[in-house]
Amino acid sequence: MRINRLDLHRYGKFTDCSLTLPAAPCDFHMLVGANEAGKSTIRAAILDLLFGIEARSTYDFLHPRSELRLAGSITHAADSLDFQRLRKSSKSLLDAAGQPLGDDALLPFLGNSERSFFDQMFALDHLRLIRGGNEILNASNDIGRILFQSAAGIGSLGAVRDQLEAEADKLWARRHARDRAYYAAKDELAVAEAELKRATMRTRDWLDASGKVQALQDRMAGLQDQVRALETERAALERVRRVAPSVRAHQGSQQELAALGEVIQLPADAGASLAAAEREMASATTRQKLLVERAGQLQALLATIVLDDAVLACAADITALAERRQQTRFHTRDIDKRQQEVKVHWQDIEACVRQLGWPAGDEDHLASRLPPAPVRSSLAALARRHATLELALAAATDAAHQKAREVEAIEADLAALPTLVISPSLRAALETALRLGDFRAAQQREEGRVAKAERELHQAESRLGAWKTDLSPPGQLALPAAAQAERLLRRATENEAAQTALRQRALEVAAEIESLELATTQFRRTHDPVTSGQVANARHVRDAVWTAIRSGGSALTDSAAIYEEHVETADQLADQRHAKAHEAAELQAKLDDAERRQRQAEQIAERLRALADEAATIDSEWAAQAAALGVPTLPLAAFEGWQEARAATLRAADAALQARAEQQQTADAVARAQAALRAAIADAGVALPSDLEALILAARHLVDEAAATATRRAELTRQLAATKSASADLARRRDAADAALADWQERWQQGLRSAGLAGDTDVATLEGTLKLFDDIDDKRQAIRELRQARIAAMQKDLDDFRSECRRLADLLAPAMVGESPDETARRLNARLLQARDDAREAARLTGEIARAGEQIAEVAGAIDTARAAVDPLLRLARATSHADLHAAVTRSDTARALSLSAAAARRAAEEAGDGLPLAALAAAVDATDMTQVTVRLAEIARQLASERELQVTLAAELATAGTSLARIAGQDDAARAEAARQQALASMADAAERFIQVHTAGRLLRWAIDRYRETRQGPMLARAGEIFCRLTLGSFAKLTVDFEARPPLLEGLRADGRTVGISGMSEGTRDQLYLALRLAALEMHISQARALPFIADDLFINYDDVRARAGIEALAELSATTQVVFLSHHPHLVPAVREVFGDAANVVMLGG
Amino acid sequence: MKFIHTADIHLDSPLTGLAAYRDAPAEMLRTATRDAFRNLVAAAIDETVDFVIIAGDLYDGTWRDYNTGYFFAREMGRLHAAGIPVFLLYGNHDAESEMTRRLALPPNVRAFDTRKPSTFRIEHLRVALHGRSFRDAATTENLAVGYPDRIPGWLNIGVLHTALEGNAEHASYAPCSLAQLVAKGYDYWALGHVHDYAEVCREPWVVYPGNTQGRHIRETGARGAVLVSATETGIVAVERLFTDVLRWHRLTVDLATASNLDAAVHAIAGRLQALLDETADGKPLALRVVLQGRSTAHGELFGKEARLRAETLALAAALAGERIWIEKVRIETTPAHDRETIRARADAIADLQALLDEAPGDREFLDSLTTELRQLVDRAPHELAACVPEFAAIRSGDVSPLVAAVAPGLIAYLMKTE
Repeated sequence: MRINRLDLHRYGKFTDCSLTLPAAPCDFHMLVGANEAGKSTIRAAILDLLFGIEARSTYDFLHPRSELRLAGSITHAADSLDFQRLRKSSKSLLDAAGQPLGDDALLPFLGNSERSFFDQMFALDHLRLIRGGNEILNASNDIGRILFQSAAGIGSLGAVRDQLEAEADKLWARRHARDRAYYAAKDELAVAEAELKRATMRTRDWLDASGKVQALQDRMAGLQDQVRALETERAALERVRRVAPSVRAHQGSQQELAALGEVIQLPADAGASLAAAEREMASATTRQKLLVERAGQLQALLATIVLDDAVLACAADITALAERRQQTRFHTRDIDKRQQEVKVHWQDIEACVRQLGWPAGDEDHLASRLPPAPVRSSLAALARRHATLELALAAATDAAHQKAREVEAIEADLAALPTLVISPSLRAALETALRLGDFRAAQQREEGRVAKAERELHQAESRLGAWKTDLSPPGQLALPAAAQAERLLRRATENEAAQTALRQRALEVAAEIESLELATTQFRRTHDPVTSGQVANARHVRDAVWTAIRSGGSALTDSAAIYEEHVETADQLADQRHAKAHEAAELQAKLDDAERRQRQAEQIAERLRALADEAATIDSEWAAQAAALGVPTLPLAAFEGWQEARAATLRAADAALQARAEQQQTADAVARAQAALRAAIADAGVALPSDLEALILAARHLVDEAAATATRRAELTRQLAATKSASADLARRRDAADAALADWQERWQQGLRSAGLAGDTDVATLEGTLKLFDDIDDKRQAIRELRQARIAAMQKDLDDFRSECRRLADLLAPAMVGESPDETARRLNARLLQARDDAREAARLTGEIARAGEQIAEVAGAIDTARAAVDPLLRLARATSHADLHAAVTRSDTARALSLSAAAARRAAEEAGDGLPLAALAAAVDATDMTQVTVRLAEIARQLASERELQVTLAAELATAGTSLARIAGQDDAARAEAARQQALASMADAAERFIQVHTAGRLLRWAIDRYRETRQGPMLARAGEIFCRLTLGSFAKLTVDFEARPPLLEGLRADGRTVGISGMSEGTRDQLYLALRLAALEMHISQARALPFIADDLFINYDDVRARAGIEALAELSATTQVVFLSHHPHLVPAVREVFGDAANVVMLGG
Repeated sequence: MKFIHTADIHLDSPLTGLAAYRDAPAEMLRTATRDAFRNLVAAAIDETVDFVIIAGDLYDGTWRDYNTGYFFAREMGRLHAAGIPVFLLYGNHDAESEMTRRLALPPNVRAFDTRKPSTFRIEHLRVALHGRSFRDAATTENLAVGYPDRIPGWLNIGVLHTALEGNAEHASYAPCSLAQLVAKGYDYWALGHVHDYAEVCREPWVVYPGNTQGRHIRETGARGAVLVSATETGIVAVERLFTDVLRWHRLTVDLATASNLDAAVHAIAGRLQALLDETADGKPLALRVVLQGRSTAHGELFGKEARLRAETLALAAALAGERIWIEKVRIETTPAHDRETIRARADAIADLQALLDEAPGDREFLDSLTTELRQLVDRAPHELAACVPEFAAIRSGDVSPLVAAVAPGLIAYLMKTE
């Protein structure tokens, strides 16, 4: 199958692009384009065209995915198909007319080939080449793998095998490893089994556990009975031992009581009460005596004290007098000091009076001379205002003068301003010129545009080459002529394709004839069959000899031997023919076949001649048509290009015309603007510049200057008016200040007169005078305060103190009258203090005497009380004296002590007797041999300890047994463990099952690849060796296998007989080796199956030119048997391609 | 009146074939048969049934843990507290179990005699239950023929553990024919032994309730007991009562249109979702996912069980959380290209196919492979042989079917290799 045409209607970056791949004896097509020119797109497009546009196609970046569309024409044997391919999952094929085709419409052309197969087998690119080379290195010790992956076009058989083996290893291997799935599960199984064993409780276990608990419980009960009996016995003995002393004591007390006989029972405290009463009476009598003596002594002391009642009555006055004496002690000295201060103040006043120039006088005179306060205040206020009024007048006068000078200056500026007028024509001309903008740049751009358009026109015309035609309007080719030319072109293309196909077929037939002839020759050589012709011929020679003999033409004697020889030869041939009838038939079949092929060759030659004739007819028709179009020598193949170039030329001519017209329009506009400006400026009387830019500048300067003058005039006029108005205001303010000062002078004179001062007193003098007045006032005020508040108050205090001294002396001590008040006061105070001491001592003695009397009475009461306590005892004991009473008390106490002792013994016995009555206890004590009690108790204790120990042991055993039994309570531990065990088993089964499958697959693959090597290495290596030799420019002669090595190794054999292993080859050589193997496999495949186009994408990137040429030659060889589409981004390979294929090579340059 | 008829409880028998994986809901399922039995007892109490019949195989014969019996007795105690009597018939598994003889049962449980057929009468209901327990596991005599005649005017129920005749899937214990059962004239035959629910006959009712909980992939679908409504004169209705806590399901996924592994996963997701929509009762499911169909994805799936299982687990977790346990993902797809198509390629793959065809006949290769695989098989625990069918073939040295089965997958796998 081959592709005649590939149309990329809407696909990737292409829109309505068509690639023609015409048939030729070497069906090789080179598509050259830079990166991004669309080579990969074309490769993908070929796959998509043949096998359907992929659902997730990435070639939808320009056209929507649903609108992707390819078309093409393909041929297989005598069948052709023009079809379109749409991006649909089904019914994606249409015929050339757009009618749907069946999904299997390509089946006759592609056979059963599917996309991935085609891609692996018939598509090879640089990356796959490199990867293939690398994989050869990786598989260098495995020829089978190298051959298989090269032949199958898959790059990673090793990876496949490794993956299978790695997967198997993850699942199971002989060595236990926790990360292997099988062993991980096995470990879990072991854990689960252990848990199951632990958790499983057999029925027997339960019976055992239950029985054990019961037995232990029975033993525990018996043991408890024994312990209880021992405990009881021990308690009885312990009781006897415990109560025996008490029982005995009780019995002793009872006997002593009986011996005492009848006893008067006195209170238990009778002895103590009697002794206490007797001690109290003795003590009270002694104290009574001491107290009476003390009372007498106190009375005597009291009688010696005399009280000063008169002084005590005036105690408050005397105390107040003493305090006043302290207060007035320094008053006389202070009064003298204050009088001195008054004198100093008066001397200061006299100094002030002298400064005023007044005559000296007393205080009253001075008071009459001083002016009153209102007058002084008024004068002071006038003096403060004077400076302000003078300053205001001076400032107003200065301001008025300043403003008048400003008015004069503005009026001078106005008079100096010039007068400028701009005409409307100048303004209009300037406006027009400015609208032209940057006319110089515009003119340059237009010049460039004109030059470019003319250049493009020139280029377009040059592309027309020798076939320039009239470009004058309308200049378009008549439609019918174009269509006719296109029809002719299509016929020529089809004719050429048909010729190519027939030539290919002719070559095949010739090769077949040659092959058959060689086979016939070899067959003859090998089998030497005899044909019927040979037999007939031999017989004919024999018969001719015989005829000659019979006719007498030759002597029998001479010819007999010759005849016999011929007879033998003919017979031998006949025999041989009979013996080799099968070989003869086979030879004949071969000869027939050769004849048939020969006839086919002749028919093909005949059809080729007919096609050549048709081609000549097309050429002559085109010659006539070309002449009619005015291009008599234009080749038909160049028509399309010529037509496009002609259209481009027309477009370029239009563009140049347009550019020139625009350039002229701009030049005219500039000239008009220049003339108008020149006229207007001339009117303004300015010197005239030459060019338009200078004219625009001059005009702009004139206009700007006039505008500036007008603005300045308006500003000065406004300033003059404002300044004049301000000057008038200032003159008014100066007059008002003047009037205010005159008014002040008049009020000043009045003030001076009222104060009695001289009329020529100025402001400064007045301020000094007023200060002296204030000083005099201050001193007078100080003198007044000293006299009234200080001196007069102290004098009054002194007078009051003296009068009080006299009054008290008269009242209490007339003898002191005449003494100084201060002495009187001191002595009165001393007398008061003595009187108070005496009064306090008398009171204290009186209290002491009263308390002694009370104590004497208390002691007498105590004696009576003690006596009253003894009297009842005397009566009870029927005693008359204290001695009798003492004897009775002693007997009573003895009897009571014995009773108490007996009761205590009874209580102790009963308390320790576990509730038994005393009689029972006494009986038990009496019945027990006390000497054996301790021995028996020790024995019991020993027995009990032993029993208790046994009890503890049994309790522990019972607890253990109970726990064991309690573990069987319906738990699900065993069930859970069993579930876990089953899970582990399932995991193991899973791992084992998968291991078996994966391991088998891995082993099977290894086995099959070994077998593949055994069966394929001969023919494949032979052919690949030839290609490899060519690709390496003879550096290697062929490929060999070192069978001595284990495993056998693939090697390259140098021309000099040396061998090079895979690992010894350079990377480039390995790539060449892979290419050689792929091409050999492809040839072998094509020899057995349908040939499909081989797509080689940038295969020789890393090759130098010589090696690239060798590679192209290898592809050339392949192109003799199938179509080769060679995609490359190396234009430098084009010459190599042309060298190999000649000028007829189909080289398509893809646009950038 | 109402009663529950159950059988084949196999208490504490484990679920098998569920390989654990991370986040698998293992805890939930480890006591499935117990939980199912608890459900049964709860249903009996909720429905206030008048009595319960257990028609054999209460325990697994080989199960030794006495705790199981204790648990059973405790559950019977719950029924006793609710005043529900239980009539227990021992089957072949129970006969094998030592617990059967030793366990003390609460007074509400009455077991049928093993020596001869016996009859329990429930006077107030006028119900007579006839039955005979297995004395030995291998009871192959026809027990039914010895059952007593029906009691006229009473509701007669026959309790029997049998495979009936002609059930090839179950051991032929206590064989008898349906005609023999019908001939007894009873109103209801409460059978046990067959694990699938079966209404063998309606005139009279002859019913297998099935087991209470499916335990492996061969026991798919809903499982439980039957709730029977009756009067003195006959059976009114038989309803199924589902007690299972986990349901086994075989999910087949057709990959005919899936072209690669991703598409296969997508197809599985679709089927999973559909299954979840169909089974809205929310019961946990143990799924075996079986991939079928002639698929172009076949080659890519080769040896990818682990990844497919992981992807399926992720899907299951995403769609149903812990509700689904993936028992296994089994690839049963076939290659998209038949042998003839591959042969027609006339390339290295075609050559390889031709070579692989010879592998099952290469004695040397088979012997070497057998030796390698026996290293696994000979070390494996005995129980594993029952789980992995290939073990038997490897032990016997006949691995050529295994080789023949693996070869097409390998070819498809290589065709998918870049």
